[in-house]
Amino acid sequence: MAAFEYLEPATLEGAFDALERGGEEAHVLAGGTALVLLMRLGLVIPSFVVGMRRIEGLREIGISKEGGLEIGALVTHAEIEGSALVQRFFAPLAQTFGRVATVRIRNQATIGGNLVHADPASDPPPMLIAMDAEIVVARRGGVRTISAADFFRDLFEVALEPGEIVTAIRIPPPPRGMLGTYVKFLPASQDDFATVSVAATLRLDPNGGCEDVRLALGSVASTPLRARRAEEALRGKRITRETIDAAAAIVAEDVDPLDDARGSAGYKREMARVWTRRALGELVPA
Amino acid sequence: MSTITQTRRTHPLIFDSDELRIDGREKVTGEAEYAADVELPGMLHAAFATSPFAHARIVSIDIERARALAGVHAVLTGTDIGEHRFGRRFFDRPALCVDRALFIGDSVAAVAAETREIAEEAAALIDVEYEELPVVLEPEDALAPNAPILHENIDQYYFHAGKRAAVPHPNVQGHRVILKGNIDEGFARADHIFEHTFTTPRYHGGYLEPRATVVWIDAQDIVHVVATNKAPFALREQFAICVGVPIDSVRIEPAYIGGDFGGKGLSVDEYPCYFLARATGRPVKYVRTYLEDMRSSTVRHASHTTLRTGVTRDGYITAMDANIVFNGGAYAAGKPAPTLLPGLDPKLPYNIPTGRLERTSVYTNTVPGGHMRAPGDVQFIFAVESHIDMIAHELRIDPLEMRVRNAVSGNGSDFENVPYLEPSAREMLEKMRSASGWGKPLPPGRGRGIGFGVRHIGGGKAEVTLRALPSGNVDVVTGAAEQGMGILTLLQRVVAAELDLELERVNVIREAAMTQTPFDPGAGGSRQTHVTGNAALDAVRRLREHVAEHGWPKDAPFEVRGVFEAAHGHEAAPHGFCGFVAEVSVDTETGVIEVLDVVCVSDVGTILNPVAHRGQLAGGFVMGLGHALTEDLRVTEGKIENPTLADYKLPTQMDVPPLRFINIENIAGPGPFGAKMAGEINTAAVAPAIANAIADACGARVTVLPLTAERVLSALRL
Amino acid sequence: MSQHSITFTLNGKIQTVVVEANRRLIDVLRDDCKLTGTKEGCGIGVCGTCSVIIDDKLMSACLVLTPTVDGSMIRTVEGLSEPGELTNLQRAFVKHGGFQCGICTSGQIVAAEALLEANPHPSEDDVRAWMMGNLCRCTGYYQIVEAVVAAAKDR
Repeated sequence: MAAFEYLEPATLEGAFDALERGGEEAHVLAGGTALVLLMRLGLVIPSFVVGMRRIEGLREIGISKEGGLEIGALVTHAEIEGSALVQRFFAPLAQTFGRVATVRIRNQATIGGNLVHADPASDPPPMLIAMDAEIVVARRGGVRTISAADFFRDLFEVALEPGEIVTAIRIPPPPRGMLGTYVKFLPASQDDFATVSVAATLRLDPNGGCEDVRLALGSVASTPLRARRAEEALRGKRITRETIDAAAAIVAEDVDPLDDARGSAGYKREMARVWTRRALGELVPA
Repeated sequence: MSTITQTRRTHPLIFDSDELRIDGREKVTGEAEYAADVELPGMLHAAFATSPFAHARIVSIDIERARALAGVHAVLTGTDIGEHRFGRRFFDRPALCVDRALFIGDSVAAVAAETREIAEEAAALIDVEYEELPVVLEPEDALAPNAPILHENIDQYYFHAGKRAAVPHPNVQGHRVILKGNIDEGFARADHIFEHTFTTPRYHGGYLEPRATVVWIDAQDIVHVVATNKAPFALREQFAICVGVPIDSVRIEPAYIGGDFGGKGLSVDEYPCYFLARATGRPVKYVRTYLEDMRSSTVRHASHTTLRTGVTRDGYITAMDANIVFNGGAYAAGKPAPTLLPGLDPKLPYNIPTGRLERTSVYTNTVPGGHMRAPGDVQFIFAVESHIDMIAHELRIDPLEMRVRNAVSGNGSDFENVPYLEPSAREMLEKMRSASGWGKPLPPGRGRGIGFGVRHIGGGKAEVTLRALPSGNVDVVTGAAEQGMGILTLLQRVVAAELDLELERVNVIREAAMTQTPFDPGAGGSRQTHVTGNAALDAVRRLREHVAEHGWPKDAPFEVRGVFEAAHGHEAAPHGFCGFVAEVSVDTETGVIEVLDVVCVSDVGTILNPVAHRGQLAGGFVMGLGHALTEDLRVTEGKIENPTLADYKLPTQMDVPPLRFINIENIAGPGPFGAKMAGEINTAAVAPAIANAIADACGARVTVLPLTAERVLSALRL
Repeated sequence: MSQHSITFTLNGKIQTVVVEANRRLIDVLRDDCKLTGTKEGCGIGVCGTCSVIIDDKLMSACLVLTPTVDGSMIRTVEGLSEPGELTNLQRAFVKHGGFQCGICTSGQIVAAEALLEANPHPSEDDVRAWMMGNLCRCTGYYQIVEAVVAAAKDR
């Protein structure tokens, strides 16, 4: 791959300096699985790479005093999958990270890198969206948060300004009794990106009605998609086969999939319906 | 022509113990040396400028900027080196394109530099001016009346060991028609006539070692080539002819080969690297990136088959008219058969009383087709085995029963019109019936399907040298290349068994392919056990004769060379069957296929290396599984859409179903101790078994490979 | 471009290399450290042929930039056994035919070693799930699983 200048600042301030120096052609290196691959294929040619590995405070998983989860941007997929803390917090979240690629990629790739790479076929974003996650973004002189649902702008494009770095992901505590699942539809090889994926979280009221629901899908558009209209159709209603079917039909209307090797747009649309139905059916059997 | 002379013998070394492969230690410790591991003093690295166009005239090439880059030792174009074409039979592929590029990725210029990075940077600095020409991507376009002619000077190309047959159109690579009996009469006798078409895509070999080579010329003008080529003696010959040096001055150095599956029988980069080595006076190394290997080496031919078959109302075939068209890509160089078709005439395990078999391979502006495990058979057997089931379905005859009725037997024969030596097709089918529980009812959404194939055991000429040492040990010297099937261990066991020596006393030495080395035809065509194994036995026979007369050598080693020859592809050559019964379930909402159970019935003769043998059957099955379900090298406008292993999906650990083997060992083959072959025809029988099982499970008939969930769903909705 | 002095332990021995930042670990291992046991396959982290263990974690050497292993512990296939000896795992691969052409074998052995360190008693399903990222075109995988399961019993 083409040569580049490489800096490993010890602090976040140092990272901001380095990004400023590098300008437009500066890239942040987290785990490296995406960036090294893109560089190797010649699709990205940075002149400046800023490695994050020496910066402290980006590798922890912790619980805030409000009971929410905070995951540092450099925490790897494997660490999240294997974390007893995350499993206790919300097991489907840990399981989602375990669905990514292979054990080697999970050991190297980070949650921050995954989010910023913004591949719409990636597994973590739909589940993070379904959990109302917030992405903590730091820049020189300040910090802001963006909701995961608003973070993805387009194919491989996120709502970050130049000089901004993702430092953590915050997930509010799931309401008591919240159910969740992540379904990754792999019609051919088991080692692949999803043809469609569905993350669903659901809270039932004491009568079995839907108190709240989140539906987010991957691989169905140029970004992960939050299926708000389908959520609306379920909120406040009893979860029955009919209401699930109706919600799934709305999802099929709202997705905008791309034709690619993993399926035609028409097939993905159909599968979005089928797997939304099946994901919800998994949470509320019969 | 060989006759079966070996009968099954008992010998504790061979028949009672599993082998421990002699290359095992090297391979599990990472010590095994492959071409990419070779490093020599002063070695330079190559890179190539390749054509971005599917068809273009090369107007001019400016190498000044490339040549000026620090660390660059040579930049060569086709004009610099001249017209040097290579091939396994027909030498139509240029070491570097001279005036035309014929597919995206065709090599246009070559660079040798201190490092690979510098070489690639220099290659990017080569300015090529192209004039785009009309492109033909599909055989029917290439055969249209006003289609551009891809090889205008084709009459000047070298055809090795023979004469190229006339072809009906300048863009035809090879064409062959077999006629058997009176097909019109055959169709007239039929109660029903069925016609179906089938399509298969390009596949890549999927060997995990990308092609690599190191070439250097020593002070005595000997050309040394380390190549990932599994037929080093053939390469030696091809190389000498292509670059124009005496064959005695070419040595193909031994290295392990990291998987071949047929495609590495054609060397590609060795030729331009030779010219770089000559221009620089240094060794030159080139290791393809996997992307380069997928894009521009060779692939399995895409195909389109039309089958028209007449049957009686009881399902007996009266006539079969088969037409298969292969997309040959830009060059025919990758095909060794004199017909320039992939593989030999396909065999079928059925009586074909009258028939017509037409096979055509066509030049197009796409990645060249070459050989790959069961070449031509993967495509043809998918068609025939699906077709048989589709006919059986229409006639409401059980598909196994229909096969039993048509199974070749007695004086019956297939297209080749030569009676089978051992017509054991019926026995095979009955084994498949009992092993699979055929006929037992299955729950809804589940089905069973059969795929059944047969192939000739390959022939060729091989030599093996034995060196009896005063210590009582024996060296076995071979020029065979080890690409994974275990030939070296096989030779050790065969010689040890036949000489009644402990395995530790038998040492196998792989030598470079050069004039004095025992000749080997190379792996491929399911020939190696048969031909090289028997050459070893011949050497043992000669050694025994010598020892009987003169005793075991006491002072100096005694050398003897064994030889064996059998015709390759002869109609009456011995053959082996392989059949699968697959059980699948289909999710009718998504089209997803789950393969639940597979039984593999193979007629293998005596098994010499049980562990490797099982591996050959399993590996061939899994390659067939990949072809059936997940692999598809997609080409759009001549450009390969998915030239990486992220997007060209090889089966993984999680994708393979339970697999059971039934090995039929009592039908002796022509190999040592009655061995046959394993690991090739099985690949061809997998996809139809699954396609037939899908149809049985849910009625969806897919006639295009791979059998994707989306295609199944579409077929369900028809 | 700047050179970086990178120090790591390689199979237990301290190594320092001076490299440009764009050098991949696989190239440094093979070309600079002369350990060619780690092979390159797909080059994009999919096939597992270049598997190595970095700080006890299985990774693809073709996706690791050398500066990022400064201070790390790296193990390659060469470091798994004593010179002239084979581990139980390696012996199991030979016995069960977990290899044919051998090009993926270094990666399979390293991956299996990492598995057995993380999970000394894996079920067959555990083996398949862990090794999903190590492709093999020759064996069809059945004998690789047998070898790993057998080695686990022996450990």
